[in-house]
Amino acid sequence: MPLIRAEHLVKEYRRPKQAAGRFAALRTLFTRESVVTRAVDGVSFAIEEGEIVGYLGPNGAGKSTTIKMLAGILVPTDGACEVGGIVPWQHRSANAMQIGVVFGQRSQLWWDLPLGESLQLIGKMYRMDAERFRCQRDMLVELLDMTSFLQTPVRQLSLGQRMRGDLAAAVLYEPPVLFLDEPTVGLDVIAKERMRAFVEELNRERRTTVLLTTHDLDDVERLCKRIIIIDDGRVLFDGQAADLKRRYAPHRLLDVVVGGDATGDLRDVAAALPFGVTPVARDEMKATFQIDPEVIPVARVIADISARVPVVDLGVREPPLEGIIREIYEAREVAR
Amino acid sequence: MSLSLPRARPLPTTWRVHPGFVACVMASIRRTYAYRARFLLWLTRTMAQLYLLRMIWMSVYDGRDAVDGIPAGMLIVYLTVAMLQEFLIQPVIVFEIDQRIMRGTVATDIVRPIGFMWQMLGLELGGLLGRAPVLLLAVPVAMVVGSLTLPPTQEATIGYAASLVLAYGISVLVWMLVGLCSFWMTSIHGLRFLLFTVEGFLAGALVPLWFLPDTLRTVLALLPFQGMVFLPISIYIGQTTGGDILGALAVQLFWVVALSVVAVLVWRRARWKLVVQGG
Repeated sequence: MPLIRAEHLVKEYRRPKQAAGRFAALRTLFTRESVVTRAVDGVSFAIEEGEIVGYLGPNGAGKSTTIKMLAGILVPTDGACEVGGIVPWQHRSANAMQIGVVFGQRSQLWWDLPLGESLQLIGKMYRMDAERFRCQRDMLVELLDMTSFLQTPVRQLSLGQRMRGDLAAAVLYEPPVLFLDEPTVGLDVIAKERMRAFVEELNRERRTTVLLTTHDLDDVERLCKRIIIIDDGRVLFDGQAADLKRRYAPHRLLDVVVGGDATGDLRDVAAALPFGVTPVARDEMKATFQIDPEVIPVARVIADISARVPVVDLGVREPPLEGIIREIYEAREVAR
Repeated sequence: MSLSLPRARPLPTTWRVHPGFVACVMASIRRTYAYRARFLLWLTRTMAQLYLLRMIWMSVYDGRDAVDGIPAGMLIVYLTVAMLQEFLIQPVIVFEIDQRIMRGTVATDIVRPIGFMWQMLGLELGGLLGRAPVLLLAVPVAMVVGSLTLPPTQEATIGYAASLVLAYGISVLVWMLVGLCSFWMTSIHGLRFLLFTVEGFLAGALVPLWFLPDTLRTVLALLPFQGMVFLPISIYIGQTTGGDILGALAVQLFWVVALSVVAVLVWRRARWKLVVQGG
């Protein structure tokens, strides 16, 4: 049985209609008319224990709304969802015991308490006994390297430190499910990497199931085998990241670097390429070609180019997820 | 699966204090001392206000022993107790609720295993307990200076103790309701400031309600504010005695119950707004 399940999940927001013109603010206050927007429109998926799933979509696609429904913060307008057999919004506190939530934009820590005291408070709320709390806290402090700022009030922490604190707060009581809503937003490269390594470790050691929303596709490439893409509140794709590449971008990228005296030859190569190969980028010493392996084997292209120019270095890459996702979003924009 | 509005959870069968509540109280006590400067500022304000009030009232008395049957000494004690009491029971709950909504942490706060309002009440109680030790210092000083005497009778002492607890209850509930307004208003600073300014007057902390015109007194008697200062301190100084003490306590109790009912209803509505409309 899947650990997290969503079936035809719908969330509508009803807001009073904004009046226009004179006394607009006053009329808005007394208006009975309302505007309904569907943030999530019939989303279904099932996530098994131990999976790390990337939940992707452009801004306003309904990612956070879905997570809030799974966390029990929002009541669905229609459809159903379950986490570990519990309906989140009906049994909010029972659900709270089994989930950890991190909202990258908003801290869950007590603003004016030292980080260590926030953690202690959370430990008590989740009824951890002293021994288990100490053990978990010490482990997290070491793993996330928090010793230096454990006694600092949260309001004085840097964003990277605060995010580490938030992550520790979310997994302190060892929840089997972790919802991460843009956990790397605003972090520098090192902090992002630390975050990813931690999530990976958690998933490996505790088999924590993770649902991750992010705009940084490096997070996804690194952590998620499976991706769910939504836009306009609907699921566009649900499957393995590898399948997504095969389906939307089956090509490979070939980087070629030539020796110093052969720069002109590279131009000639680009001018006369076999069918199924297109140049993507080129400068004096280096060129990138896109190869469609359905049309021509990558090995033949390499052989062909090597025969014509003195190749110093070459490499074959899969297309980055970034480009594929961008294409999917853009295609939707056009269709709309 | 059928979906209806969230129902209120059934009450727990055993009444044991949640460790999370205790933790909130303890954290709040420690935090009181993290803001020592603000703490001292409040104390200074209390002292300054007391000094000024005393000057104003002495010029009103203008050497007379009593005005409207209230002896000058009794009035000074009244004002002193009012100021110290105000320092003790000033609510933090209104700031707490407001901040959590402004910062958006309320979203994670409501999915804790302990209810949002219990967290807020825990922080509130911790604030009170954190401030209380200051009175151990302030009360003897006030007694030496001569502006404070103990309640005249044992009846007054016990009556005041009970009345003070109820006064705290009314104060917390009133400010909790103000705090909950942030679920609907973009900013409650205006409302908070307004109430903060008039509260002292409505409750009788600046002018004991005996001195007010009858019509105004009648109106104020219908509001909960007199239960925060005037009723308990009238008992303290021995102005309200015997059966009237029970009457005053009954009025306060009525307001605690009534405001509790309102607070629960408003909180349910606020939570509904949060979980259904998304805040």
